[in-house]
Amino acid sequence: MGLRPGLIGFFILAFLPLAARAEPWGIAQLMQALAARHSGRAEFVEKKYVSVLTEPVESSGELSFAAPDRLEKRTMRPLSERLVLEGERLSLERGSERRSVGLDEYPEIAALVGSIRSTLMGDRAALEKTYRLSLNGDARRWTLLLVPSTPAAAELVAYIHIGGSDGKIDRVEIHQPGGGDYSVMSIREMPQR
Amino acid sequence: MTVTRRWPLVVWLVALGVFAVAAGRLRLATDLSAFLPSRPSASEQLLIDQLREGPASRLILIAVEGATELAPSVAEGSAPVLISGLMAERLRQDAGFSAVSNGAAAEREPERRLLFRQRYLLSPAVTPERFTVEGLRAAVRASIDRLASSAGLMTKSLLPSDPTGELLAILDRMAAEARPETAGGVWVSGDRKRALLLAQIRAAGSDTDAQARALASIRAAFADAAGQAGAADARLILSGPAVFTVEARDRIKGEAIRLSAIGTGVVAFLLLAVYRSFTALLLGLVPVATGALAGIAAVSLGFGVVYGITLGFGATLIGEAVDYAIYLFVQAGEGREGGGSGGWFDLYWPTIRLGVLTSVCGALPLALSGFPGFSQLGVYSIAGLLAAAAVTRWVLPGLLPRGFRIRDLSRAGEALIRLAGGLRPLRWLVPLAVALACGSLWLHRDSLWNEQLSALSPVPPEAQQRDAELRADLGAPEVGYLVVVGGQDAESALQAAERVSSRLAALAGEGVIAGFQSPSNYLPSLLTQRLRREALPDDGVLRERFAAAVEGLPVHPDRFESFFADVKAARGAPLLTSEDLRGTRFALAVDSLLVRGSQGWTALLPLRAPAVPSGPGLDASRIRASLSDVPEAVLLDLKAETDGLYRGYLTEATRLSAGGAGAIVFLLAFALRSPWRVLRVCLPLAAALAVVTAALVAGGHRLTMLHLIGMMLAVAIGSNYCLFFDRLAQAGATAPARLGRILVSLTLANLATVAVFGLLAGSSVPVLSAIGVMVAPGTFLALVISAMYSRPYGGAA
Repeated sequence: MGLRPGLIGFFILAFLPLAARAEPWGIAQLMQALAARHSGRAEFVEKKYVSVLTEPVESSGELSFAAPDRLEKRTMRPLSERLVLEGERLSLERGSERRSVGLDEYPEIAALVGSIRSTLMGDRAALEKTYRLSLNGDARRWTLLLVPSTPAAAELVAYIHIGGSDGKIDRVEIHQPGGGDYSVMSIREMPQR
Repeated sequence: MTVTRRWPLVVWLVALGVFAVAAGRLRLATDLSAFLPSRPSASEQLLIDQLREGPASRLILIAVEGATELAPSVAEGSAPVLISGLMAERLRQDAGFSAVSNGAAAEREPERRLLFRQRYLLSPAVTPERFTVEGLRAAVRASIDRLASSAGLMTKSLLPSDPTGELLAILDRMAAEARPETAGGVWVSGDRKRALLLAQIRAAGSDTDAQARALASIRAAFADAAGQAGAADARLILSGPAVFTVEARDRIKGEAIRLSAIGTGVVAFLLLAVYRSFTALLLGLVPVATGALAGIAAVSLGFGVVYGITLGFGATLIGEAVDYAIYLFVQAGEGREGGGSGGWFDLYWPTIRLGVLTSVCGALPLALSGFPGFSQLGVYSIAGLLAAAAVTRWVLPGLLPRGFRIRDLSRAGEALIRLAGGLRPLRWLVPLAVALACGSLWLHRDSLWNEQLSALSPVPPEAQQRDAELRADLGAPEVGYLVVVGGQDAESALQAAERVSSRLAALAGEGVIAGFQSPSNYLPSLLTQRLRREALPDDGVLRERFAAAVEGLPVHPDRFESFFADVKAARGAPLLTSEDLRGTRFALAVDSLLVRGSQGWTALLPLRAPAVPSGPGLDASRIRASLSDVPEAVLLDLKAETDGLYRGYLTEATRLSAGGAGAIVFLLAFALRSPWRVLRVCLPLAAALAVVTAALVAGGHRLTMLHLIGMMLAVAIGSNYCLFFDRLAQAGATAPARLGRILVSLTLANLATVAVFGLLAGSSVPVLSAIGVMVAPGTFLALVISAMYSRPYGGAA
């Protein structure tokens, strides 16, 4: 069971750079590269820079993604929390509390975690529903800029920077409107089990 | 006309005047309380109060469904979402509604602002300890940790004004409640096929006209919205007590008029076809009309209000009361030139009188029933029958014109005699059919009775199902388990609810229950609010303690001016009242969970059972144990309660029916003075009922107490036929002409009964149809079986 997706991932990864070099680098190619990955696990460290605080709040844990649309964010420190986004449902576990709600219930989380998931899925249509996309860099080192195109999203986010290489994401920066608060999430891929 | 003949007429006319006055004072009740017990226990009273007047009775559940089965699930911009928005917007402008909610974010914002403004009165965490240096430090520390969570970037804007996290404490508690799902910014069903709305009617639950108007407004709003959204084939689904009440009223009213009119028409046609005389027809309807008027007058005097269903039942009286005139006209046809009808009365009045009395005994169980609707039917029948019989005996003969005669029916009589003669050899079929019926009933003995209370409800099962679905989708508390506490006023009920809440919160922590709702979550008692307000330190003290508390924490101590200002304002602000909640979802919750009853106020705390795939839902004994120190709290298991309620009704109906049957047997034994004759009257009835019941059960019907009541009415009517056959058997040889007339009159009377009750059997109101399917075939069989066992008369011819 565990072997097959890994093998497929290996072949796709092996041939991907070739394919990418053959064509000019653009959003379409990035989305293709992202969509080609079916699962992955990574550690993350997230730092939130908030003006009320004198130092950033740091949290860390594990991210895992499984095609087609399951993203799990498990925070270990400072408070343990498990957040699973699957389809249109969001499950949240914090301490003894466990909740499963429609994504709409939490527009903030939908905007932030949802945009990470859409990127991981290579779902350009979903991203373009809320954001204008622009891409910098090349396949080896790219940065995707998401700027809200709807007023609702603009209230929550000023812009999002997603950085990575090839089909892998390694950095997500979320900047908030006004005050200049922002968060930086560094992602380090873990080997597939 | 002689003087003695005139007296009954005078009495009759005076009585008619009195009845008319009494009936004129009639007040028509259209709510569903006819089917609720009139002598309820405390917990039943609660349910009834809720259903009649409570805010729950004013709630309408609305669902908007997409065009086709294949429609994609509801999402932003889809037709149901658009329609939901347009409808909510329009209904909010409508003065007929006190609240309209579709879950839109737009309505959540003011609610959030309200919670934020009142956070120091609402948060369960506000205590004097919270505002000590240590308490503040722990609270701020926890708030900083929350910033690290997924929603952190959003909660950080709260930090300067709410560093202790009171709003989050309130929201956390509310998040534990069941709520509808949202999609596209509005509430949707669990399967995402429907958009959902809630509307609360401003008028009281007993104002059926206002409810009907409100429903019409909703339908109009839907039609417009669907047109605007370009989704002409979208569907609107409405449910809730108001919908049931209005539908039941319309249906019962419609059927009452329709069935009475058709019944009268059919009977009139039948009589006209037989009598061939308009005079005879009109005279024949005199006892019926008098009986109906007397029945309504008796109900009006005895109850004050008349339920629509009672009037609908008026149809049944036609079927029975018309019999007496039929007997008079048809049977007394002989010897008119001689002693008039007097001779006939001497011969047969005792039989008819006994028939009336057995009918009264049959209707008595209804009159004594615990349901006001049924006891009205009983009183109506008894008064109507007595009046109709009396009019036939004393008034009608005086009204008959000289030389009054109906068509010669001797040929029909001869035919019926031949028919009876032809049936007689087949009588061995009766014991066989009865044996089969009893066997079949024995086989079905486990599924004989419908065990659900809902079987009695005038609300059709599909509508009940629909209501349950919408309720589950809307996260309206599933009415499974409730803790109920009372108080003399709203304040003491809320204080009791808070005491219960603290126990329940502990149980939720242990996982005994998944969660609960309490009115005190939205509207704490004034006492609690005052304690919370007093827990807030004055400005100078707060600043001092806060500075000490945040020392060493990564915050800028000078960014919290809005916190100090808010606490200072909260210390001087008035306490929260239900008025402040008006127009929000919280007002709906408080309205439905804090109820003014007939004795003081009641707080309801619905429990949610933990999601255990198997086993019992709730550990009731553990909950009761933990509530033992709140003496006024009662844990209600509504399923068990309603089951108990139903068993009670069924037991009552069985007891009363048995009593009625016993009274009839006793009456017959007293009047006939012969066990053999009593058997001759009772056995055909028993056989007919056994066969009809077995046929119903075999046909997939499940019996309810309504069928029992139908049996009693079948006995009441059918006994008259049996009594006539008994009278014939007693009289020995009877001239064929007289025998023929008696058979014709009985057949005609039974045809009228079958026609009227057959119409009832087709009614969509369960009460009427259950009685109809029992009485129409039951009385017919009673007549046929009696005829089969009557003595052959060939020799006397």
